[in-house]
Amino acid sequence: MHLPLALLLLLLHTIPALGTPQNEQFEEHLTLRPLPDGKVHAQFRFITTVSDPLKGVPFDLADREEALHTTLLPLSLTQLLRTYYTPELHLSLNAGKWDPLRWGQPGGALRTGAEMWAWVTDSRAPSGEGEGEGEGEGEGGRWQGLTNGLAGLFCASLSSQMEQRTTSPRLAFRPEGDLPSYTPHKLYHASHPSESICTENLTPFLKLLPCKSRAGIAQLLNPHRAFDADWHGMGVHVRWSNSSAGGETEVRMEVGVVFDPVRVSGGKREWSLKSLFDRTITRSCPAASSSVLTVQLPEEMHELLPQPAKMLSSDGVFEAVYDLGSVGEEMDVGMRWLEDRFDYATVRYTPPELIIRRALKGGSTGLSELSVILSNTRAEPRRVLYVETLPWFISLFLHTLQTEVDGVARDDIIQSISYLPPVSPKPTLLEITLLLPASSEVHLTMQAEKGFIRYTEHQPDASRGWDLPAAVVFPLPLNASSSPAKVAIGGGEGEGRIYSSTLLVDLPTPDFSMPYNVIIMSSTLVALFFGSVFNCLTRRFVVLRMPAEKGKGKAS
Amino acid sequence: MPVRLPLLIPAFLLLLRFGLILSPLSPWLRDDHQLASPLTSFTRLKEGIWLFQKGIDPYHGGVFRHSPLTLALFTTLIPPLPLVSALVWTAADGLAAWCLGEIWRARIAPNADEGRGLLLASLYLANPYNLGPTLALSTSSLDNALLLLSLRFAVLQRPSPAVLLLALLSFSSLPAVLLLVPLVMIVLSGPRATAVPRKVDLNAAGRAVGEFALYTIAFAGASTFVAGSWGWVLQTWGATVMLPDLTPNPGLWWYFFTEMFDHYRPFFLLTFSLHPLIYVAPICLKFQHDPLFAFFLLQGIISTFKSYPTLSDAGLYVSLLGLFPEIYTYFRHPLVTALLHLHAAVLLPLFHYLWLDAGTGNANFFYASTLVFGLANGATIVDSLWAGLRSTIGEKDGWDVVQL
Repeated sequence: MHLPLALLLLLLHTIPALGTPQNEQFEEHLTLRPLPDGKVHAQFRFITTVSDPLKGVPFDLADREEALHTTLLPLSLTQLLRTYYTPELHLSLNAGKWDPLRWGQPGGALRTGAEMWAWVTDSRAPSGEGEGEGEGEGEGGRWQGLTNGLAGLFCASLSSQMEQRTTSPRLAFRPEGDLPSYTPHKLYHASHPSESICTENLTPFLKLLPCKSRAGIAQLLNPHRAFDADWHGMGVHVRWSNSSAGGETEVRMEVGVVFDPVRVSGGKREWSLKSLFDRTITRSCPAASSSVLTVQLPEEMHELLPQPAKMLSSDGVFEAVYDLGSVGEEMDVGMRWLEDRFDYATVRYTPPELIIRRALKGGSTGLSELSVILSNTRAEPRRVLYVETLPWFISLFLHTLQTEVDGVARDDIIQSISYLPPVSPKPTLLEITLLLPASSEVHLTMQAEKGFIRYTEHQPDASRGWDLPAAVVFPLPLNASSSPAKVAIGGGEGEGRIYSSTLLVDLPTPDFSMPYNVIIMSSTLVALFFGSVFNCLTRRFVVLRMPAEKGKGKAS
Repeated sequence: MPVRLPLLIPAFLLLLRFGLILSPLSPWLRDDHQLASPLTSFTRLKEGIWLFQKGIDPYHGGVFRHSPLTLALFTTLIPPLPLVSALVWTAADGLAAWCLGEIWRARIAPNADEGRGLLLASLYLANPYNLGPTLALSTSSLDNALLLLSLRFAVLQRPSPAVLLLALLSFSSLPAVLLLVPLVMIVLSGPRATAVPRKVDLNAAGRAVGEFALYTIAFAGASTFVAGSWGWVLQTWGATVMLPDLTPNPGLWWYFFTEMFDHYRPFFLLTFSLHPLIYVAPICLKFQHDPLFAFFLLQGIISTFKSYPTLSDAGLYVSLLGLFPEIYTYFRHPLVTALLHLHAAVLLPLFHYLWLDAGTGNANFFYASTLVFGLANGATIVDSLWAGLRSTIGEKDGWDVVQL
């Protein structure tokens, strides 16, 4: 009776030893940032690091025969990364329009809609194992499999119109971490401007966390409040770094929310965790090695409750730090201002250093004009990489590309152009390296043509128009001699990368109820013509003697 | 020698288009769907030149569909500057009109004065169907000049330049290949109608066809050399057959294949591509006595049923009609045909505007006007065909001619 139980216990005990030993660490971090216009930006970060001192390789290169055991990271995610040979992966889902003028440009992707990019191992033969079969074949197949997997994992329609959206930028989206050097990797990037985030995406996201939403800062993630906010987004970022202590894979999961306490409270900008999230932190997550709540302090007079245990200063910004590692009772943090009403008129905004604005001008026919305005507010010149991805039915005419600096035409600011014309149904990819002069506004204009597409290629809501994905601008090091391909663009948690807003284009539509009519009418015309010609060519001409008085009537 | 008054009219028309090309009207018309198709648009030509000069393969994307020979010409000899383009397009139209006059002279009156020939040339230049595409700098105007020049050499019974020019034309307008048969017949039996079909020298015909094949292969080789790969074949010739770009034009293909069910697309592409082919043999057999007339009819069929027509295709056909004054009396329904053409000429720009600019009409409006235009062209061809057959029989009092 006791022997089998003891054996079972023994067996259970030995299982971790069979797999690869993993050093795992989980950290969670919540930053609350009061914004100048009275809103509050809350950024949740859940970082899991897995280091494998034995092999020092990312998941995907670990021995396939060997089982992979992780205690903090869910299998559903690690298995995806292993199956599709992906050392680096970024997925972000955002809704709402990020206002860089008022809210600044913090790190992280701010693209409206969904964006996904990954570095996938290029030339390794598919292993032919279980789940990799079929859609895992080849490199493009791996990307497709990865997309399908993530779409299923996060309940997002990422895998729709894959081919129409996937590009492989040549200069942009360099890896944020390291790539294993012994196999080549290929970049895939896709953006879905009309896909937005909602509860069905957040629920599976929370399930991937070790404490779910039951303890730690994840307790605050109340979908009713998060999706009521002005802006909300989530992201999953996986990267591998070749550190000194062997390889290390970092999985960073983020949720960002911009609340408007002024709207909720009716004129006052005071806030607390309770008022923002309708929840408080009651328990700390035991799996977290560090659990920190940081509040960035505004410059004006304010009152922060409760008093923080620690104050930090970075880049001239003071931060109050609360350690959530040992939360005994209910933990609530709040901020108050010494004012009765918040006055928008007194707010002064500091414009960000780099701004992009984009518009497609022109009527529905003929040529439209794609106009991009890049503003550099720094007092020194900057090099940037401008990346435009457009669906195949928008043709750019690059010979009409014109650049103006503060209203004066200048061609010398374009340093390089990399252009991949659209091949239906693959999108256009345009990457331009620009040198923005100090404190200047640069206008880029080029003509574009909206194409005519088949009636089956239109979306179900064809008259709504097509969302064009946002353009991206990457700041580059000023030193022009270093090749942009070698510089880690977009490194460091997407810092500095900025996105334009999305555009909605109205394509000329055919009449969707007409297929039969058109086939019938056009075919009738062709048949009529053929019949007449056939008739004329094959019938014999005969000369008839006409009695003069009867005329031609008889002849017919 | 005093300046002859009739010469002033074509001179004036040429000067007028030279001025208009340089005016702001030309850029405004340049991307009009009726004047320039994706295969002939000047904007796309400039884009192709830009890509080519930047070292990007212009045939990689779907924007540039001009032939590599055109590309080579415009990157080396003819820079796409406004003044140069205006000169080239004016000269091409002048050449086309002159060729038309020459052909007329060779057919009707080798020794008569040039009055009627000049009238024909002036009509070609004054025809809005020809003027519009020239103002839009559509390369279809250059194609017309090439076709008429080729025909002129054929009429003068010089096979080599005729087939050389036709081979060149087939690179910018693939359906022109169908005109090889009547062209060789003209070279062999002259431009005029004869009572009995002449005996055809099969050796000479074979030589001309062989020469055509040789030139085509040479041009294809040159194209591949220019483009750097065979990619141009799919983007230029392939586009004529596969219709990848569904930009509206006055032809019958674009809306048909916009609305086509996906599983029927290959079948109908094949049908529409092969359809003009079936007319070649019957028309050439029926008009053995008058190959120039067979050429005229086939040109009309091609311009009606080609995949990317512009108005200049119809303009050329209407202008060629002037070469055959003997058939005018035998038209059965000239008034109906003329009214159909008038109707189409009014409806096409109007409904195009209503659909795409004003947004008050939908695609069916413009489709309906292209149907009317197709009907007008078809009616012209059928009526010319009947009148052409009928005119060979002639008139005699008390006798009538019927078809059984």
